[in-house]
Amino acid sequence: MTQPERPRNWQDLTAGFILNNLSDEEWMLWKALCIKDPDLEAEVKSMQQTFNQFADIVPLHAPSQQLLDRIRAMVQYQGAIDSQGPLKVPSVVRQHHRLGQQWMRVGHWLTTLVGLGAIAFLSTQVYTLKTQGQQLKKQLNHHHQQLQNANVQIADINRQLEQSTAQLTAMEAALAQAQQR
Amino acid sequence: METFDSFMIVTLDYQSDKSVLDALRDGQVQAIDVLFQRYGFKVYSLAYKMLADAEEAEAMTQEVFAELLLTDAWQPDKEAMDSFLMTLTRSRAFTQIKRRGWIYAIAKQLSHWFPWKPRQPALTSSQLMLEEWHLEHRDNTAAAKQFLGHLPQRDLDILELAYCEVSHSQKLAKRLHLPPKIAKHRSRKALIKLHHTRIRAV
Repeated sequence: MTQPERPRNWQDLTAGFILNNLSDEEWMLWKALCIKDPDLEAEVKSMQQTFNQFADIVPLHAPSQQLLDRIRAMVQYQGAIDSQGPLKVPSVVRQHHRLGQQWMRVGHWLTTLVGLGAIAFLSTQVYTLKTQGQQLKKQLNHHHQQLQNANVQIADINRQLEQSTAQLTAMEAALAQAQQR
Repeated sequence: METFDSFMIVTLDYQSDKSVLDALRDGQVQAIDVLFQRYGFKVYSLAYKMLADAEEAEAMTQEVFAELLLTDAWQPDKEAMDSFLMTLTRSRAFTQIKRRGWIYAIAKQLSHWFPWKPRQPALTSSQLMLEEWHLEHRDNTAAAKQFLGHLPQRDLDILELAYCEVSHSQKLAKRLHLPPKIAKHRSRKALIKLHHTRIRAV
């Protein structure tokens, strides 16, 4: 079987496919090329392998021990199921587990958001009450000052009243002496 | 029983990826330990590097292994298992990143400000396995570094960015501060050049 002739830019297209940067026009060309030349798949895999060299320089991290346990459990579960025929339950279990985790996470953050909202609301209330308290204190001080002023005025009036009474008494005494004469 | 498991693992340890996978499909569940020891850390590390989230990276690793074990997606005569797993991890991780919305961004920011729970430290056995793996594969890492060293630093940076962080050409161009056409052209040329170097070396 002869190999179909490839266009000059086939490597460019292959690289574009792997790098996910083919334009719409290039994508159409690429699709047609793949149909015409099935051997291209091997070239893609080979170039992909080259690109995967970058995975060897990624800094290594250790997962938790539970990860291996979960994968072991998945294998054992599938092994048990296989005796009853092929089944895709593990993926459902995995999705369910993952969905559960996601909902848990959403729940956590919703609770946090509600908590933060409550704290913000209470803080606003405290601030408002504090401002009102300060205004009331100012008003109280003002009224206290007015009361003190009024007391001073009352004391003045009392003193004047006492003076007037004394003058009146003196005048009455003088009048009584004049009548006796 | 544990001694038997250890014996099986040691026996499987010397076999090819295909033989180990076949053994697993034949019911030798100990084979999963061998596969995980060979590729689990690499898959997890790549997923962790791309997703920057330990929980998500573990879920992704589990998914990738499920795909390997429960489907016939890997074709041993066409591709090495290592390359298959890395391609799958990378592709799944980019899909996962695309799926993340603004809620994820807010939750991530909140978790940064108010950590909900401390990151669970890797347990000793896992850490020990990683160290063992590191010792076994340090030659591979050194070889990869040496191989990638054939590229000029500029091209290396472009490909590294495209491999682990940016799946879209527009975003790649933005990160590189280059017009999209130039970024696309440079990344393709760099990959082709690297590929030719590898083919020549092989």
